[in-house]
Amino acid sequence: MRERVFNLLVIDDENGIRAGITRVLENHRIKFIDFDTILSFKIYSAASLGDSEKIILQENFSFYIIDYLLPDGNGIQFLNLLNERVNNTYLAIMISAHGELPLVVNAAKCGAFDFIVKPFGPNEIRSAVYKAAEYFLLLERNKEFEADKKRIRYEFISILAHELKSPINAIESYLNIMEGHLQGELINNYQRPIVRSKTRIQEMRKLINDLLDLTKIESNCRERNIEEINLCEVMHNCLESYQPLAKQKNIRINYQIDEKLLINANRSEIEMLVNNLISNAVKYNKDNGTVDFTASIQGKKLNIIIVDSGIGIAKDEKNKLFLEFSRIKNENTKNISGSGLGLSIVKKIVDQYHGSIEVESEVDRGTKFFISLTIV
Amino acid sequence: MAKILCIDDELDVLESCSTILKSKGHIIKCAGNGTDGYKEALNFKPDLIILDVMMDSHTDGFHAAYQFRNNEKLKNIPILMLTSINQISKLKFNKEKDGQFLPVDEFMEKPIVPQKLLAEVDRLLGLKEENINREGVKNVY
Ligand SMILES: Nc1ncnc2c1ncn2[C@@H]1O[C@H](COP(=O)(O)OP(=O)(O)OP(=O)(O)O)[C@@H](O)[C@H]1O
Ligand SMILES: [Mg+2]
Repeated sequence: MRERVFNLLVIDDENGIRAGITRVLENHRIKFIDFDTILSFKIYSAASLGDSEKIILQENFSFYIIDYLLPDGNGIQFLNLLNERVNNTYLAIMISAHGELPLVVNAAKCGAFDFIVKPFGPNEIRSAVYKAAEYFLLLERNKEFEADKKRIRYEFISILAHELKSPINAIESYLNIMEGHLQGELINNYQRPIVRSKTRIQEMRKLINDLLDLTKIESNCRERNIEEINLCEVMHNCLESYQPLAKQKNIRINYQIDEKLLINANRSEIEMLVNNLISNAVKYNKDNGTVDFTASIQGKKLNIIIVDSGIGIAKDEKNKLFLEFSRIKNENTKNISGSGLGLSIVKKIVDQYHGSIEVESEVDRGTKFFISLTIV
Repeated sequence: MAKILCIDDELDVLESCSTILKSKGHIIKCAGNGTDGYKEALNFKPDLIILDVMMDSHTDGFHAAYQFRNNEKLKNIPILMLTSINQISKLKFNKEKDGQFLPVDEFMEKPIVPQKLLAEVDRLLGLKEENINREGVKNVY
């Protein structure tokens, strides 16, 4: 467990109360199993608003215990002071006399976290401090989450920017060549730059569409229409898109789906899932290869298996498959284009259906994807 | 006319460089990664190497640059490094801290502009041996 000591400032004009609180908290240790932390306090004290003003300039405090009525002002003035001067995270507990309810409400508005009503004993102090400490750790953890989220977003955008910049740079380089007439005056001499530019534009369009798919799944605001879908039909449509590519490489796509197999799911998600998997099974296949697609229902589960006879995936590359923008680079894949988002889309969809996805593969022999979705 | 080796994992960069340099009569060889580039360099004995940072494989381009400088036969070949805007700073390569500075002779940003590329190539081909940046010099970038 991590031992952490936090600064705590007690502000009260009564000597006895300052000494009492100090005695209670001085050697007090609080164990928070959830946060893997043992927490204790280093206690400072001040008798007036003026004194505390000086102390907070010298030390950073995470906790304050403040008497509402002070000789040279009140607790709310002190809270306002903190608001203005202090940047770190802190929690303030206010001590108030009985029947000062309106004041208490005001203090809450000014950022007091909790209240202790006079007269109080060690237990009231300890329990107020316990609550504050727990909340403090929670705030810290949330901050870390936020920072993580920002970092992940930053990384995503950096890679995306790179992915968008590459085709633009390539196309602009080709245009520069054409503009400079580097290959002579005849337009026919420029077929290659033109074809390559168009390819890069198509890839970029694909990337943008994949990105839209990805965010569509992630955003919860879209209405997610669940309807009865015939999987055979989905497969038919999918084949229409990928048959041309398959024909070029003489790849046979076989599928075994019960014609009456109906599932309750979101149509566009199931289409994306099937399309991306078939696309990969064709793209990363060899000439004269095969793709076998089977789907079956088992209780509440829809099980899909896609087997291809393609280039396969090396063991140490497997864990990268589902990461955004990750593509495997080797001799076999260097002429195959893609944005590296297909399987991240598939993974996100599988998660939507509380499902699982597993890969078995042998380099040069082929790959099997096992998908199981919970279809209620 | 010179022999120039282009190393980049992006087909279009290789094609653009080749087209531009061939238009001035240079002889071009291409390689798709640092390892192949190094092998090719030993055979081809180029007068100049154009090397991409190659973000996709992290520090492949940097690694290749050091490899060239550590080979007796290759260490005096000028290197022109291609980058994309903001690219260098993003890589986990801390020039200041590690005291490592890229041993390359010039940086050039993509997209490729023919006149600029040709001018740089001419300048680097004329570079004297003692002016080759073999160690990596502080204010090169
Ligand atoms: N069936 C498969 N056989 C061999 N390798 C595969 C297969 N499916 C995926 N891969 C590898 O996993 C990588 C990631 O696949 P993914 O579908 O996410 O991206 P992509 O196909 O490169 O691009 P996109 O699908 O976005 O156009 C691919 O680049 C490829 O190397
Ligand atoms: Mg894919």
